[in-house]
Parts: sequence; structure tokens; C-alpha cells
Amino acid sequence: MDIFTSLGSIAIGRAKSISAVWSTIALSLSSLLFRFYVGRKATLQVLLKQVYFTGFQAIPIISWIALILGIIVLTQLLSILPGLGGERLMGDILVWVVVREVGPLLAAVVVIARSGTAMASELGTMRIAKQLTALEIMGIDPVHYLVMPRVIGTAISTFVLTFYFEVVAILGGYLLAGFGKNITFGIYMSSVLGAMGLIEIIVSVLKSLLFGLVIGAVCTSSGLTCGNSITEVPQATTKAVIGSLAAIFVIDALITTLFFIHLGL
Amino acid sequence: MAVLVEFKKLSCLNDDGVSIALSANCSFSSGQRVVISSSNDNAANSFIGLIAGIKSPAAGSVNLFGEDISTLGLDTLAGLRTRVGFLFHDAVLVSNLKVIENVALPIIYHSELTYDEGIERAQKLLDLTGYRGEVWALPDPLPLHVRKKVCVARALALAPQVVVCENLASGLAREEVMQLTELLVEYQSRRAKDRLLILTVEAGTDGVLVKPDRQMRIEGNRLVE
Repeated sequence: MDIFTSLGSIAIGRAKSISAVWSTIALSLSSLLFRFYVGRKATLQVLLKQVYFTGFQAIPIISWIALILGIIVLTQLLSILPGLGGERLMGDILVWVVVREVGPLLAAVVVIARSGTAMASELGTMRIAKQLTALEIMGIDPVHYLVMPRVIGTAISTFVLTFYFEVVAILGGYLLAGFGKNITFGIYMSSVLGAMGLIEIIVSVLKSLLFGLVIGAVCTSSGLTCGNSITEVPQATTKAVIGSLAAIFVIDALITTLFFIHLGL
Repeated sequence: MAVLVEFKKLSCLNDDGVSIALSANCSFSSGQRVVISSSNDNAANSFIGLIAGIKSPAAGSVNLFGEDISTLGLDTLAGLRTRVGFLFHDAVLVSNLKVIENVALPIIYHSELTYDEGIERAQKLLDLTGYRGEVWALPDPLPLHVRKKVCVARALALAPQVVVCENLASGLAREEVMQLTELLVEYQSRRAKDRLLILTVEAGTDGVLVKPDRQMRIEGNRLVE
């Protein structure tokens, strides 16, 4: 009986967390759509800061990771495929690996590591210092002013970073690993572009936007539900990271399964 | 004198769940400088929460500018709150905004002014309070009395009709309290036309330092004049 009680309470806890994340996304989107003109100059400032921090400032680390991934994948392909006589598969495999799967995932992981932790700890600290109450008393809705710009800013940044990651991995990978080998840039690019269908672009865009929304929602809700002691801020941050990672891997698996198995695309 | 804040048979539960019967009927009018002192921190906090509308009364009602705030929707309540300037106990400022941005925040959020215009107005308000520090610094490292000055500037940002101070004197030296009080009194005299109400709730006995013309106290969980 105790085991069932424990399992039940764990399941209820998980369900509550998932519901909190989706309601944060719903609140943010409705705040954006239906309260757009409320305090728009102040919320725009927060949104721009979020995009600058999450998107622009992440470019160096994203560039490095994308370049290294591009080199690894292309080196492996160049070492395996010619022996099997399958050079024409190069574009397909690059698109499958980089655009469909690893690009959105790694960009999201970088966003979680850099910005998710910052959002959770910042909002947790603000909550403990009663800054959220102070905002509310000043007639400033904390969801509209603090949560919505962070969630939307994270989604925009993750989307842009994913696109940038994929371009750098594909182009940079060739320049560093493929240049000088027995494959020209023209053949390489036509192989990649030939493999890139509309569905690959849709999947990549869908994943990156959903990842961004979910990371923003998980991290802001972890910060906002932080307890009343300063020692609970690191716990909220850890919870945000673990929750975001779990969420993006589950969503990735769901989208991949839906598009490439159930829909047979 | 117009009645700006009114309590009707008000009681509430404090943080420990104990009922506080604050008043039978009590009103505060424009132009007054009222101090409510309490030996009990909880009662003072509850009082501020009730006026701000973040705490619901257990019985009775709080009327702000003639409206029962418990019946108002979030947006209407937010609109009323812009007519009240709050000075919080710990001089709570938004930690990720610079000093001047803290003062400009209500202006930029609630008005049609641009960011630059909001910053310009915030600078004038900081000058009014005698703030001499770096306006583009983060507020956390500032001493308490300086943060309270910034809070005064922020509370006055939207030219409120009521200023509510929570424990204005708490944590400050006597001269610092006098300085802040002079500032508020001077601002009130400048606003002679629209007659600003200053309502201070003090946990402790420092209420007398803020030069009230009406003094009340919470005694045994009752508000008495």
C-alpha cells in the first residue's frame, strides 16, 4: 500500500509540474496576445534584454559546439562512406543528424545551461526578496512583466540559435573537415540541399520553438515556486535544469516519433 | 477634504492565522499626515497588505478612492494602485534594474512616455530626493537610507494621491528618518492643490518622528485613535 501511495504521490507531483509548465506557456501567450498594449514599453525592454542574453551572447559557445559537431560528423562520414560507396548519402545523414535531431537539442541544452539557470535563480531571488509582491502592489503584473518576456524571448532565441547552429555545423564542418578532401563544396552543398526537404525545416522549427517555450516556462515557474529561504534558490535552479532537460528530450522523442514513424514522412 | 482610504468594520487574519479586528469604521482624507503605530509587526504588515489589496479582509471592507477593492478585477485594481505610492519596509527595489530604471519603471509601464522620457523624469525625481549616488548602479549594495530615498522617488513617480509608508523609520538613524520625513512633508506642501495623503504604518514607537497631524495605534489587535 505504501508503495502505491508513494507512486501515486510521485505521479500527482509530476502531473502538477507538467500542468504548471503548460499553464505558464498559456498565460504567457495570452498575456502577449490579449494584453499586448499593457506596459508594452517596459515589457519590450525585458524581452530585448532576454533575447540579447539568451540569443546574442550565446553565439560564441554555440559556434564552437556547432563547428566541433560539424567536424565530428563530417570526419566520420568521410571515413566510412567512401569505403561503402555511399558518398551520395552524405547530405542525407548530415540533415538527419544535424537538422532533425542534434541541432535543436544541443542549442536547447546551451540555452538551459546559460539562461535557464539564470532565469530560475533570478526569479527565485526576486521572490524571496518580495520584489514580486512589490511589483504587484505597484500595479505591475509579474506574469506580464517578468514571465511573458522571458518565455517568449527564450523561444525566439532558441529558434534563432538552432538555425545558426545548423548553418555553422554544416558549413563550418565542411570548411574544417571536408576542405581539401576529394569532395568539392558544390557537390557537398547540393548533397545537403537535396536532402533538406520542407519536412526537415518544419520539424527543426517546431522543435526549436517548443523547446524554447518549454525551457522558458519550466525555468520561470521553478523560480516563481521557490520557497522562502535563500538556500532554496540553488534547489529551484537544479529543478529547472533537470525539468527542462527531461522535457526537451521527451518532446524531441514525441515529435520525431510523430513525424517520422506515425506520419511516415 | 475627500475621503481617499476608508475601512468599514474591518478585520483580517494575520500571518499566524489570528484574527485582527482593525476598526469599526475609519477613514483617511486628502491632505492628512497619518501615523499608525503598532507594537506588532504582523498587524502592521497585514494593514499594508489590506490597503494594497494583496490581502483579503476576513470581514468588512477596504475602500480606496471610494471603491471596495475586494470587488475589483485585476486590471481595475492595478489602475487604482497607480494612484498610490508605496514605500516598503525593506526598501524593496527590483534587483536586476539599475537605480534610475527602478524609479522609471512605473512611469514607463503605466504611461505612454518612451523609455528615454521615463529615464529623464526619473532623474528629476532622484534629484528631488537628494540622491547623489551613481544612477546607473544596481541598488542592492546601497545603504538602507539611500535605497529608501530611491523608493521615495519611485513612490512619487506617478504623482500619487496617497503615499503609504511601511516602517519608514525602521533601520534608520534619527537624522536619516528626519531627512526622509522632511522630503515627504515638503513634497506634500508642493502638492497643496491636490492635497496628498501620507499614511505611515510603523511597527514600534518611531511614528512620532514622521511628524503626523493624526496619530493612531493598533492596540490589542484594534485600531484606536
